[in-house]
Amino acid sequence: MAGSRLERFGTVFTRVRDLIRSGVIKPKEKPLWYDVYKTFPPKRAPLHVKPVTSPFAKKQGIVPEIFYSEDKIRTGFYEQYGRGLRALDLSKSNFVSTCQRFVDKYRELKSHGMLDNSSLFEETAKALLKEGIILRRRGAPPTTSVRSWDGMCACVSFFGADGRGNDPRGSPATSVEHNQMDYLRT
Amino acid sequence: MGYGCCSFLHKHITTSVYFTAFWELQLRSRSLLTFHGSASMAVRALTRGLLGFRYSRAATVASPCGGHHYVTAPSVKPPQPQADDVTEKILNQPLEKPDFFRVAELFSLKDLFDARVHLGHKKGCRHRLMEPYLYGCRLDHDIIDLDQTMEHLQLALNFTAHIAYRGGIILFVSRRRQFGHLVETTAKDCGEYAHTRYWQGGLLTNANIQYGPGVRLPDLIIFLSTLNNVFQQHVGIRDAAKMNIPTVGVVDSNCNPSLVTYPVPGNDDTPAAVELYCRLFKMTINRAKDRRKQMELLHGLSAPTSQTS
Repeated sequence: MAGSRLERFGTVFTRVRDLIRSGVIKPKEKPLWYDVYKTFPPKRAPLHVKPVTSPFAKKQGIVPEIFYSEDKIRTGFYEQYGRGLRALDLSKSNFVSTCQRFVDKYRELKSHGMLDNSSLFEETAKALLKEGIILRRRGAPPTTSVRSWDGMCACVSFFGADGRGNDPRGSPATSVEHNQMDYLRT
Repeated sequence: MGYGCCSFLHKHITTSVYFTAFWELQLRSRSLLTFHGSASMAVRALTRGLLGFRYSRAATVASPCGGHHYVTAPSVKPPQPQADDVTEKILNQPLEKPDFFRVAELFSLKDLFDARVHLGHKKGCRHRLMEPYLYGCRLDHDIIDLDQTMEHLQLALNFTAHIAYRGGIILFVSRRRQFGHLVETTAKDCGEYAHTRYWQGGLLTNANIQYGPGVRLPDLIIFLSTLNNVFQQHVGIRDAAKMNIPTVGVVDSNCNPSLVTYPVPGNDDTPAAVELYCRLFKMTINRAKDRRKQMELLHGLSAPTSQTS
């Protein structure tokens, strides 16, 4: 069977189509998938893309960073209370972690609108205590909690590098990246 | 020629490529060597295949191997213009509807999410050609856009179903050792073929010499992971493009999707995700084959002995 082995020129379909058009492949010998591809083509033609060799060509579409407005509350929570006493069970899709309960309670209290930001934290902690969740503080209480997006990751990594001096379980310090993920995972 | 082939076969046993060979005299009287991967009882199957290779020469009707047998090619039938027309109609009817096999109802976005298909690799591992398929990056962890995955998966499954409907050979390829057995059992369950071992350089491009003249190559290759064990692009993708074979591939955020005909952006590392893909492909292929049998019965093409309903 005739074929064309030039995978860098055109797509599989264009090569076969041109071979049929020029008569090299007889219509009876046309491949099984030809009609199917013609009727249901892919979203993007599978053309070979040359690998970029020069280090200067960096202008591509940027993948956006994903941040939520609750991340501010989460940073505050993890700064103050460390990783939380209850482990995260990711195998359940409806699992609500301690941090998430804190965030939900915070937003609930904020929507009432009676308290201001500085005391909201304490009020949320007290509200959770009433429900039976004990939050144990770690390290010094936050003096300047960073509220900007850029500062957030820097703040988290700072605490990660410190290790956990006050952690009663005394777990060994893991890598900084692991701590970053931990701190802001819901 | 038979003994020459046998010496080649021995060479390939040691490099752990398993296949069986059988003659089919009703077609254009040429030998067909097809791929057949099986996880266990390889040696026994191979010796049985070797014996069958020599003794089934006298057989006039080929027995199906692994539940897969060829049903297309109008030139099979003795000259009957009516049969030809009916076969043409059977082949072209599914192309009229956008989702003839209703593959869209096999999966939902929630299924993809629960199987953790949206989890990509870290930002540093990202391939620049995968950027259009990413939803975003959460703390350096790439998240694949599941809306796009849904569309791509629907196209890929639809294409697979049509190929299976037309009696094409489908080859499952994955070089992930963690899922080797799963891929092989999937292939076995839908009566198709799998290759989860070391890919020899000339497997597709030099098939006529490695496996004997007149080998029928796969009509579709499905990659459950497009990378090989050293995180480079699998040779099969480039080879399939060379041999004008369309490919369907699950591309993770560190893979190159450019040469894959129907890429499916998604996670290829989590067992849950790979199990989902295997299940979906198996269901589509079986559905398509059953539909084909139904259509043939409907149009009265099948012989009365092969009625299975």
